[in-house]
Amino acid sequence: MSGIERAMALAQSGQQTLTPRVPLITSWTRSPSASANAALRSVIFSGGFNNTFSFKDGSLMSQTGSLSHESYRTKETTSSKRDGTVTYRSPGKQLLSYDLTLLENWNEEEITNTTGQTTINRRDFKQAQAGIGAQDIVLGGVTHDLDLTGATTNQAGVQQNQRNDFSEASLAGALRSSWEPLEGLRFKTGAFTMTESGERSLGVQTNPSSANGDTLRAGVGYRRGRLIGSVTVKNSNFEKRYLDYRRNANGVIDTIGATEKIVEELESNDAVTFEWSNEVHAGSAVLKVLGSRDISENSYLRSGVGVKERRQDMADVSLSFRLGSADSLRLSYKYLWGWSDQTYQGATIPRGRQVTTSQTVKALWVHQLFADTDLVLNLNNGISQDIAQNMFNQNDRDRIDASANLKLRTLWDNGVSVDLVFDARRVEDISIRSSRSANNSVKDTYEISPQYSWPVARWLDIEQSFRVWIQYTDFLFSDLEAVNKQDDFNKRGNLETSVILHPNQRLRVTMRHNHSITLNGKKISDDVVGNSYYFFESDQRVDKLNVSLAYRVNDWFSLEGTTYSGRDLKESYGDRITVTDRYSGDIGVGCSVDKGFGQGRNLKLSVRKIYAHGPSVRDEGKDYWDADFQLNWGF
Amino acid sequence: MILFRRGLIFAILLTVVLCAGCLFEPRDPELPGTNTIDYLPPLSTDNVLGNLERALAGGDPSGYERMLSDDFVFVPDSGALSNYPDVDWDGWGKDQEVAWVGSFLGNVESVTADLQAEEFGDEPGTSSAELRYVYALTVTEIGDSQVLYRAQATLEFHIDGTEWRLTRWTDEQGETDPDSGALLPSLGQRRGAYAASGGS
Repeated sequence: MSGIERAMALAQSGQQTLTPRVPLITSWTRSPSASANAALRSVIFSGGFNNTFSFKDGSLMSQTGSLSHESYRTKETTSSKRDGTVTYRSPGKQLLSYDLTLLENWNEEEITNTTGQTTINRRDFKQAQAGIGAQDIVLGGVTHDLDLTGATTNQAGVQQNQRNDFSEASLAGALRSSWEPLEGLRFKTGAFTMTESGERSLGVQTNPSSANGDTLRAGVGYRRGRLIGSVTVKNSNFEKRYLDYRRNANGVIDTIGATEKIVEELESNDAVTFEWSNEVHAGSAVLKVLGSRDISENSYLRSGVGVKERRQDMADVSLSFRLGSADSLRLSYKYLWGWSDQTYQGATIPRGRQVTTSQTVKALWVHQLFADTDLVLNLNNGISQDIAQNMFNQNDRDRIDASANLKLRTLWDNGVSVDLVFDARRVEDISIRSSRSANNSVKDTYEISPQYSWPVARWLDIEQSFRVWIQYTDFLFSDLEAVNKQDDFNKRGNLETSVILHPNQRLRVTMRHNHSITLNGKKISDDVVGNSYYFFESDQRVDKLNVSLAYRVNDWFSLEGTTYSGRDLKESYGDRITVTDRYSGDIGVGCSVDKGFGQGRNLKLSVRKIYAHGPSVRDEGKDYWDADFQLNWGF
Repeated sequence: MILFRRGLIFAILLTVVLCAGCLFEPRDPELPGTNTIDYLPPLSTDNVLGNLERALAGGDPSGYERMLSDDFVFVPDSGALSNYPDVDWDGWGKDQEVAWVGSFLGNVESVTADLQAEEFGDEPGTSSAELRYVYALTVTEIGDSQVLYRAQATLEFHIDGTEWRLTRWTDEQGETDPDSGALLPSLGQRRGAYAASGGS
């Protein structure tokens, strides 16, 4: 008789009432795992062991450990990693919650470059972190959440033969409050503060380090009748003092010829964000408005970057509604305007603002054309502009991007599907300054792509797709003698046919053929009535044939085989015709195992031997094993 | 009623397109000067690299941007990762690269770039390519000091519609300066310095 049964029997007999004895540890899950993967690029071995303990009070302790070793086939690099964590979390449903985490990440990488020089990078990172939190504390009708976190971190690292160590302790606290004075109206505030101090070593120098930061957030959310929205204001700032390499105006390490290669940096940052979102619902119509403003200033005491200021305003308006049962429409407009400016270290005036703006209008129409057939029309039109104030660079440019995309999609009950896509796009790239404007162009691109999928029988599926791309490039200043540009065209057609045979439940054969044609030409002249004449530059025809075969011997074991062969024939026309004719192919044979041994226990294995030939096959890819092994064994 | 509804939809869409077309007019550019950048048609990976070099040397972020695919990704080497651990490297896509190169080229005196300083003899495929190079850059900063970059990188390309684009730049490791023998940083360190100081 178990303890519980004995207690129940005693209670029923009226002699004595006993509480059933529950053990301290209610469950213990152990999950060892091992894997090996050999592919074209690298070979990886890894293993791990995880433990999870559940305690009778609902708390949880988990431990993870893993290690891996990777060596590359394409370069002389080896990489080793070792990670471990121990975490304790208190029971969830308590006023006070607490947690403790200990972790270590260790990695080492040995790199030998093409000249034979070897570099070792190593990092050993350890952290201990404890947190305590109190949720849903109600005081005077206001609900508060409070979190406090303390941590110590320690790193011993070597990067490109330079020491990079630190040892620091930090304390952080966060208070989030919310108050709902009326139904549908909620005020929210948040305050976060942190402080950190310790010391850092870089190269041969060691100095104290510190960081302080705080964030204040306030907002109001509303949901009244047809209106849903929120307004939020956030201010955050931090100040960090740390050792760093000497950096130039672009923040790039620049120590060549410098007497002081390592400096004590003081970095500070201030940022303000304002955001408003609003939705109005009226019947099937929804009007959404989103507006935001971000302002920030980032400054460095020693880095050549100096002071950076940024501002970005954004507005996004969209209206969506249904018209009858068969039509729905969505219209949207997005506006972005922003700038960044920089005052280099030691400079008295700013560099000048780099302004970026963009506006986009979009329309989406979804219409049910027939039963099982939908028509989707997407229209986009947008402009983006880069403007350098005071012409501090020559990169002023405008880009117009307009496109129309029409999709017709049919899916019948018998599984046959037919898609038709027509896409037209115009991109105007306009550089404003004379040093860049010779390449200004308008590109018109058209794409038509019908495709169908037909399950002919239970054992046979056929898919076919056809795509045509046509692109004309019109260089806007090609008529000028000084500009060496000729308008051109590129055309490409692609036909792909797939036949999938599965005569029984064990065998599956897939045959896929792809044929593509590419034609390129340059414009020679226009006649008086506006006809354009082009000269064919090249004609390329590519054929690829893939056949794959998979045979399932039983529930967990399969045999696989794949072949590929391709031909690339290209004719280039000029003073003389040049013909290149290239063949390529590969063959792969292998097997796979996927076997389970109860819950949390499985073995997966995939092994393939691959032989390949052709001009784009590297030495390491001509004859190699591709293998993947995974073992998980929970107990 | 249905005709009226369709008419209303077309009227709305047409208004949106026409209004946007009228609103969004680019500024009038200056006529090209004599010192122009002669870009190559991006019909091969070599031409894409050539255009990137021309854009860097010519200080033209627009030309650099045109060679990047929309799903461009930059992956730093371990030196940049450990020197700038707080940078969001996983999220470094085309937008971040374009913003960085605009700031980079707008705040230096000049750049000379050789993205194929050493080649490993890799050949591009028919619609995608993964090629290794040692690249070298000499950057003349404001104030005339020079910073050298030299690193091994794996560059991945694919055909985007009809033209080749750079889709992934993976810095592998810093390389040794052939003149001084000093170990030089990768260009990822420059991206890290830009992002660590708040960008722009």
